[in-house]
Amino acid sequence: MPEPLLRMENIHKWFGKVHALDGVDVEVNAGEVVGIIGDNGAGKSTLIKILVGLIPKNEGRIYWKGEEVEMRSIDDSRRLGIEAVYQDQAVVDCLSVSKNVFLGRELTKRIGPFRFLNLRTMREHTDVLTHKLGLDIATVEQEVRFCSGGERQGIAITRAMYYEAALTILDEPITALSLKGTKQVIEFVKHLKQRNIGVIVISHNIGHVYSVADRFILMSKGKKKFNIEKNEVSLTSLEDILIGL
Amino acid sequence: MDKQEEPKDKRLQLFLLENLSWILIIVFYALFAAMRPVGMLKWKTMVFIIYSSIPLGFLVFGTGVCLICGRMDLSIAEMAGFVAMLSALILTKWSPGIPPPLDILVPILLGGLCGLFNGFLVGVLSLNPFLATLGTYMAFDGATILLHPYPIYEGFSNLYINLGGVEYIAIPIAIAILIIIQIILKYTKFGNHIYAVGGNASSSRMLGVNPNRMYIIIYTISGLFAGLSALFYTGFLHAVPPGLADGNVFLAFAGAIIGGISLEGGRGSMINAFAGVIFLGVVEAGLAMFNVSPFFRKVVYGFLVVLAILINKYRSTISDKILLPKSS
Repeated sequence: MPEPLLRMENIHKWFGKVHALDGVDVEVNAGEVVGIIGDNGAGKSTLIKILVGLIPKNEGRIYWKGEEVEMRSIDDSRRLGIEAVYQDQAVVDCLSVSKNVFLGRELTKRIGPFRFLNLRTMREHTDVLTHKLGLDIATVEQEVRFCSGGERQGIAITRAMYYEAALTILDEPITALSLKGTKQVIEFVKHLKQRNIGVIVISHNIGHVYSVADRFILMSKGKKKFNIEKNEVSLTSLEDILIGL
Repeated sequence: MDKQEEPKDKRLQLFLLENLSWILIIVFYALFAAMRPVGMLKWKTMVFIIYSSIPLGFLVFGTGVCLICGRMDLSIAEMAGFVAMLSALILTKWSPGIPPPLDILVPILLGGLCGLFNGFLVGVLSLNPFLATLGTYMAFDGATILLHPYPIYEGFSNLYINLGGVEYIAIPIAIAILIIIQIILKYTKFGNHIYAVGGNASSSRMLGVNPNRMYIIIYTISGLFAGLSALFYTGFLHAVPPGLADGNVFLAFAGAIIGGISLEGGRGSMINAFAGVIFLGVVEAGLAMFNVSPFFRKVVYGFLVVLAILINKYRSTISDKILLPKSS
């Protein structure tokens, strides 16, 4: 059996006395869409923050393509090719749309011994990507604070599109979106799958995830409760399981 | 481009709002010139206004960088006083052998170290920036007097005094430094991260920009500016009195705010902040023409600060209204 793209083993996390993650295992293969589902407080976002290196785990191991890795910072996870679209979108209101898309990884050009922001190229790339995503942003120079919830989500997704990571994580990607936006996100996930990119979609709403995911991991109170292939379960029975947790 | 489609009056309005501090300079200068044409309209007066604003200007640069990054440095002026005194003691008494041009590096390096200490308190220990720098404010204030409670007049090299002491040397240097910071802020990755962290530190962290590291760096920069200010005050005064730059942190904040730097972070331009300082210089020169008491000047400055905060508030409401996209 080939090694999965990502394997997280026996992950534990305590916040003070709260056992936020209690021995969680997750596997994701290349080209596979895994839906992680659970109520608020189930530990989904904590799991992702550990995976991308935002917070340290207390116990457990993470394997990337079979090799054990340590995620000490966002840079570590990005280097491996892990890209996350966060629940709260991680945008900076007072910066322009294009600066937000490239924040932390700005494109630069060299002039003499100095490196300067390549503002024009960043604008052009952002323009192309936001149009591809069907976002109706007046101009990519617009400050993000004037963007709607859907547009902000779009900016976060534009980032993931640009970097075409090996594993893309979408944390509650469609909570803030209109019907049209939801459809675009689903298209985006399908597009990633076609390109053999592993995808984790996190949601508290099964309906959002059911149509795109290949497999579901149900979480409750910091524990992984079920791991079900989509062909083994219908939407209604999945809902029943979740209610019963 | 969409920009060209915007109506002309809208762009003009935005331009005027963004450069309000320059308009204030022109209006107040015209006002004072109308009342005291003989004194105010001299070329010498105009040059002196700019020249005398430079030491304070460096404090505004430091304050401005911190504010844009969403932090504040209350200690910057007292730090300048402390660094000026410590450098004076080193250069004139403890180790008078340091030759120019190395001697001018002494206050700058000492300022950088003091700033690094603030950066350690805020960036590493995550202390509240207001309280941490209030603490160092008091410490620098006291330490200056402990070091040497009397002015130092002699023993500096010509270069050390001339940098801040000769108008036609000080002004070009200050303008060159201003242009460099403005370019760093607007056109480099590092500058972009200062705005990003000031705008939203937690989002920046999620995108791989470490706010704590930025805080350490910006406080160090603030300290470097305190050091430059110390050097230029020394030249300007041709001496280092124990009360050098004492209390000027309030003027530095006033200048930055009049220049449109937001207290909430993530916003502002250093060129406009410099205009804020020159504006204060115009008011000072204007009031000097009327021989008003220094206490009256303080009252005027106080009102100007309040006015600046009000103006900033309306400025952002109005510019939001203009900028709000019409689509959807």
